Amino acid sequence: MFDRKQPMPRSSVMKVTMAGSFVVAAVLVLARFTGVLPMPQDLSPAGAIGLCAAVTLVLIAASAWYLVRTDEHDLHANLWSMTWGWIGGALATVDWTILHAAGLAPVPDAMAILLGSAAVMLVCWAWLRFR
Amino acid sequence: MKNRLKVLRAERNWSQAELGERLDVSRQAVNAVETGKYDPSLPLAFKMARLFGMKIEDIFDDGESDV
Repeated sequence: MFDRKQPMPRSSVMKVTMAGSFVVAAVLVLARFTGVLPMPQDLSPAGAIGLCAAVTLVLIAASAWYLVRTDEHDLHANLWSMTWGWIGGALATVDWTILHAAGLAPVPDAMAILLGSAAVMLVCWAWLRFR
Repeated sequence: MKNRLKVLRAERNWSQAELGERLDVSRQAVNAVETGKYDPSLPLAFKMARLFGMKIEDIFDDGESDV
């Protein structure tokens, strides 16, 4: 299914990726600001499970598709940025938990750690990709 | 790793973007290889060598002397 020897032309990969990102962004904006789409807290239990399954499948499939079809320089940047993003998230979790246990910080915030980890990934990827 | 990619590209009057298109990689990838910030994989090095009609060792130099 995925064969790096016969990759899709880079321009096509970029077009599909940009189009996919635009669709995801449009859906998120619609959900957040127009009320056309239900927010997660408005979903039924079955709807929430379905949304989780859909997000999981789409994220895994889209990531696998992109990482196999992009060029090796971008793949290299992606893999290193993911490594440093994970290390940053792990460090933040451990340090924040220790500081919380010592009464020096509030309860660790999973969303803040996730977003911080994503920020580390983005900075690392951009540095490796465009320096 | 040192390489002659920039010289070979200039001899053919190709831009980094043009070379990237011929190799099916991004312009940034070509720039990273030229400046020694990224060492290409063996398949990409072979592709470059075929494109320029040369051997890999005529394009890349790892700084080690031959035995």
